[in-house]
Amino acid sequence: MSIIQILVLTALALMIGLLRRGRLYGMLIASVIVIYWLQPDVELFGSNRGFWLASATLALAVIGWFLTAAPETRSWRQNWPAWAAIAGAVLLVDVSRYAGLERLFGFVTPRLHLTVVFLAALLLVGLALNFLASRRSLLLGLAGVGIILLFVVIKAPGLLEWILLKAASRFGVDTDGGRVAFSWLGFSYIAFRLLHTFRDRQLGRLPALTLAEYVTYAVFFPAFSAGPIDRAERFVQDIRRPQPLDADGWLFAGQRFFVGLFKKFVLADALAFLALNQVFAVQVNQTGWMWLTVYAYAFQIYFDFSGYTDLAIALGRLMGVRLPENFAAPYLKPNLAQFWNSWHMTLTQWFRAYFFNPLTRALRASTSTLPVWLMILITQVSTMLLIGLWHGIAWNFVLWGLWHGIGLFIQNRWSEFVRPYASRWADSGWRQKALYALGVVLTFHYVALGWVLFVLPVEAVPRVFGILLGVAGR
Amino acid sequence: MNLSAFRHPLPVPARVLSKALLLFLAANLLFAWLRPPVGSLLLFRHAPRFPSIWEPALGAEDESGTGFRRVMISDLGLLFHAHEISSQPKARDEYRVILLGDSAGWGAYLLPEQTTSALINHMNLRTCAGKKVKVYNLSYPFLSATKDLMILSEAMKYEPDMIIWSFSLIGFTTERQKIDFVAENPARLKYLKETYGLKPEIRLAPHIDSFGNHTLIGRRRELNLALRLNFSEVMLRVLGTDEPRAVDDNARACRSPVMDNLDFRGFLPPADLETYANLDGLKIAARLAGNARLIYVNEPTCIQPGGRTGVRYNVHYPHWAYDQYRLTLGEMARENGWTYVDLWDYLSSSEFSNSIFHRTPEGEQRLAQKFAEIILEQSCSQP
Repeated sequence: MSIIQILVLTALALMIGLLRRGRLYGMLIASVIVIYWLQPDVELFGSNRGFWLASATLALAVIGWFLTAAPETRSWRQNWPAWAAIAGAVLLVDVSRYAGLERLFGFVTPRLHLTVVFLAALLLVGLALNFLASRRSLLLGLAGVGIILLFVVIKAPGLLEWILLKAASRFGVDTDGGRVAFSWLGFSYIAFRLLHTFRDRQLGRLPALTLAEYVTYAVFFPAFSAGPIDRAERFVQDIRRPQPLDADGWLFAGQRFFVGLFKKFVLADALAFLALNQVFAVQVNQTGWMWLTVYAYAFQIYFDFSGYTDLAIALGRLMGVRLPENFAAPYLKPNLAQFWNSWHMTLTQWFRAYFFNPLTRALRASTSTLPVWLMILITQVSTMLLIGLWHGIAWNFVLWGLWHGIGLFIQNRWSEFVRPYASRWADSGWRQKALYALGVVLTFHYVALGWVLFVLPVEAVPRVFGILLGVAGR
Repeated sequence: MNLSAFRHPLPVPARVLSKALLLFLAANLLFAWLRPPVGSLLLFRHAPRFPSIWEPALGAEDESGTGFRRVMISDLGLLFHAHEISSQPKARDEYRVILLGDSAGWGAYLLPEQTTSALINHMNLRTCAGKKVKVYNLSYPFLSATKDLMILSEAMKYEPDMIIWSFSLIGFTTERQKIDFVAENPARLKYLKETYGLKPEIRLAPHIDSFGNHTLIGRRRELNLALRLNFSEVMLRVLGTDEPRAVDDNARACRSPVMDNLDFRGFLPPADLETYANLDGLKIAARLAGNARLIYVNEPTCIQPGGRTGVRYNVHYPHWAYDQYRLTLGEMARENGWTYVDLWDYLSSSEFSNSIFHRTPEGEQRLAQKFAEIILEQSCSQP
């Protein structure tokens, strides 16, 4: 996002925060319009389809509500204003070109009747899902699998293009050179919010949410493109009883806003000049310089990501919503487990809740012969592997996930082994501090080396590691 | 007096905001009052040629295919602060030569040590009077006579003894006087118009030297460029070059045969030179140069296969326009007593890289030899 976009979103958040009534609807309408505003255009066989990708995001959120809505919040009377607000916002985006505002959006909006058909179809699908309420658990399971499959198709490079080309050739559609290039803004985050609500609904933990509350939660504009991934039951508390924008609120939001801007646009953007990339991987020959690029990348990704989180938290606070923290000084943690408890915390909490804990419970329950160390190895490696794949389905993310999974396992075993010796040796304040500092340095470097796997294609990695370790280059 | 009973009339956020605004205002006023040269913020100076900013770029922004995007700098102060010419005073026994020109003169796709200036400096030339010849590369990408005149007007502060200005026809066309570099130096343009009668090919909003122009806000672009240039220079140090691009052998400009097309930037024969170009900049350069020896060079261009017998020499120049230009140049030089060297076909097609102007290291070597001869010959005839 550019500074201008962030300033516009801030003004929007401020205006909504100052509303005495209808704040929820303000957030809903703003969030729907922002989905379209931020979505870059899509090149699909020579046509511009950005509008429809943003509409797909919205459709996922609306269908998610129809699937998860509790009986007491499902009535038409209760939800028609939300439906009208959503439809109105989409139609507003569509007709914006008649007011000469087409340049606001990165794509050409379709003809009005197509948008009306889309909204009607969405409503019909939702109502049809209502009639299948007795099979809700099955539908939620299928929807969860569908989201995961969609995730795989989107994240695996070339897979979607291959599928679309096959389909086009099967149905005789002109592919105009056969190029598919797009980025589905916010999909990674919305997918995980939806999966969370599907699973919690199955387990009976999801609170009853109206359409307005659910869609606002799923596409809440401050957290839409870069998180954090809030939990619905916590989010809805703030929606229903917004935090007052008092002096403390202003100061908190202002501080986080300016810190976020500084992190993103000063620190991260400056470090981007030096951060490890594919050019440096090939052209840098000296060990010292290569380490510099690795350090620069480690801090660039931190300041970039945590800067966006600060901005999201600030904007949320202006509207009375306390979004959860995503980072807690991760590079100052003395071991890998603590690092992962303080890096992209909402994502790791999500995986802990919906994968790690259930898998651990399942392993414990299914067999008594599996040794503890193997159980730890399986759960940690598989969890980190999935976190790696969340970033993209590619070998480098697999390696990055394995790097951290195995690192967590080794750290777990090593800590068990050295704990008695370490506690005996570190009997004074300075020794404890020295041990802590050593842990911080080691953890940071382990994480920094992991970023090499994260940022580079696999074939570029051996050369970089060789130069970093002084066995290649000069 | 009971201070604890005092209640500030403004709420806390308003107080924070008002203090921040006051501090920001004070910083702006102080900056405008002190007027520090932004160039002094540069961490890396003594560059053998003017720098540009290389920024990380992805996708469509990565035009050069290097993973970086090049941002040209149009701030003359910053350019000269970064250049070696400003880093030390002229020595008593130095014979100072500056080279003006475009990207070919700058040395696009060449390392600094492969450029004409570096090659001549490596020859350790001495003039007839025994002075050491030191050549400075003040060329900068884009063919534009007005851009070159702006650089020359600033370069005169550094007391050159000789100026070698390489140019080509495109640099005198109307559109090339409107490039960003020119538009972003309104004060310099105003100076050249008012003092030297530069024709107003480009119309900008009137430049007013106000107090506001010297505040942090007024100089934000300059500050932004200085900071980005610092980061870019660190990146280039990591790569060990100031030219991260390499010529793609498939993109050799001089390999493909030229097309039979009479067009020159929208003009067709029998258009007169005055309709598509203005050579008045040559006269202004002579006045700007003052007592320094000014050598005009019609820079080498590649003649594509079939170029000598067809209707075009190359992708840029049809015979009718380029011949007219060369003829006029020669006449102007004779009438005004200028030193003019026409090197238009001095290099063979194999000595050009990815454009009809950019040269290979071999081409650069041959040109450096020629320039060295010119420098020695002309410096010895200089009083």
